[in-house]
Amino acid sequence: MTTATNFAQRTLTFARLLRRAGVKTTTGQAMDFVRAIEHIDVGSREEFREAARACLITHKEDIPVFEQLFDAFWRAKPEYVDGSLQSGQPDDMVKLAPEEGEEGLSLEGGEEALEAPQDPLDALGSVEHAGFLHQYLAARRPLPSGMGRSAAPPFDYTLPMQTLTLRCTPKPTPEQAAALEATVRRFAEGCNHALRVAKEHGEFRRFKLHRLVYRDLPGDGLER
Amino acid sequence: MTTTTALNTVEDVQQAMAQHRYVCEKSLATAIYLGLKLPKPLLLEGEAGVGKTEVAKVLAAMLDTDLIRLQCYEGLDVSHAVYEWNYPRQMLAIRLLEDQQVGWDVAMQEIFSEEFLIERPLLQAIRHRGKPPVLLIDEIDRADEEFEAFLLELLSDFQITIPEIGTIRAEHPPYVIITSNRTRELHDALKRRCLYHWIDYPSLEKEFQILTVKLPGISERLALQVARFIQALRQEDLYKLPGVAETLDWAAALLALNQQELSLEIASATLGAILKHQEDLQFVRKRKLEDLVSTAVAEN
Repeated sequence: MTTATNFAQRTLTFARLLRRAGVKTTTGQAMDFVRAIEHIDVGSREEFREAARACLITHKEDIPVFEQLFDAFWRAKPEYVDGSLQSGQPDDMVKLAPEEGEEGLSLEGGEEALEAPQDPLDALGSVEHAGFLHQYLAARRPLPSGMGRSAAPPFDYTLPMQTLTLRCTPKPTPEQAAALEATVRRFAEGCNHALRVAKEHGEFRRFKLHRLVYRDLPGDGLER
Repeated sequence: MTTTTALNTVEDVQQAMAQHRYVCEKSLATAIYLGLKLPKPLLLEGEAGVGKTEVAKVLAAMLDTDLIRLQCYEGLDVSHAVYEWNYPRQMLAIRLLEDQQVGWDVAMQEIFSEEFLIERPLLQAIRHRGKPPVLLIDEIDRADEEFEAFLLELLSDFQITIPEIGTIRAEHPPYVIITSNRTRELHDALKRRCLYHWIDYPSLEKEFQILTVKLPGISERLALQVARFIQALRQEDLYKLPGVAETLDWAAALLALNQQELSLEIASATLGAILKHQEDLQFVRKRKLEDLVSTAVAEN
């Protein structure tokens, strides 16, 4: 495989990973990035990163996810392959499942992906992937706790938003768990209400939105 | 004179921008550079007053070419963005033609010729002769979504069809800069045709640099105080945060008043240059101003 096609493939894979993480980016944009490479100084990692960002990202909110995935995916080789080139480029081993039916914003349980065949997570095994996959997972859209992946999502949670999370495991008593879940639900319902109002009024500015929803948002038990 | 051919690296762009007194970080320079090279429209988003429109102006100056600007607003339609027939002149021509007893076909050709066409910015950009111009589509988020859809078509093939005249194609596609204040989310179809860059509020260092570059008369001391004040002010929960434009206005106002240093009194008197909402003004004057000024003038 020539360097050029290899690079194009890696770029497409990268675009796919971005989509998996909820970033809306297209193959066309990825090909623009491939074209952009001819014009920039590829020796400069910074320039390479800026070019990738300009080409692939179209939402401010996606920038943190992009930065994370970029660092993990386009990393410098030596650091990860331990000086020996026998293992080849680690990223080549990340094979992604075909994207049919996959939607950028679809709700997808975090664990579901683990079970899906051909998922990059299956490639886990080689140590050099661990760091990447860890970040890949962290960058995925987190789900509010209490939202099972068994049924359809109980409410729409489709604001194009990325949140990076640190996962800790609390060990609550059953009562605490119920209270926590109720709180999370209440909060999510409040968010959804605000989103509906925002869409209805076409008003996404913070203060105006505050004014629109302040009275409706029930405060019981929740600090506003 | 700078031309595109001389802009062969990202650094070239950054330097050329600096020559035109635009302080820009590498990420923006990369986006502009790729916009020129690929070529692809560049979508700039950011809060009001961070210098989005200025990028287009500086780019036109850098390339030594014309800047064609389309200011978007609610209800903007084709007749204001692309072309319009000069109706009063057509009426006059019809009167004259009536006297000459010319046939219908001839009259139609006469009346719907380019002579009676009023070019609006988009048609101007397409018909522009010579060097490709810079087309600035300013504040696209203010225009309706229908207009956005129309723009999509224009940006993909740079041609416009006028039924009475035919299709006009751009000799050299213009360099396109689109800005949005993000009062609404733009359609993805438009976004993916563009390179994207988010312009943030500047850091303290950058804001200081902008002040000294844009206002050569300002002392370093005052520039630093102004920059510190504004940076601290942006941390407050305000209805509208001040942009770089406000920073510059304010600093210019302080210079005009011969101020060498920030003081509580003068800050209070000139606060209207940075805060444009009564609620914000009152809030800051009553509760924050003293702290802000003392933060700004503190020696480190």
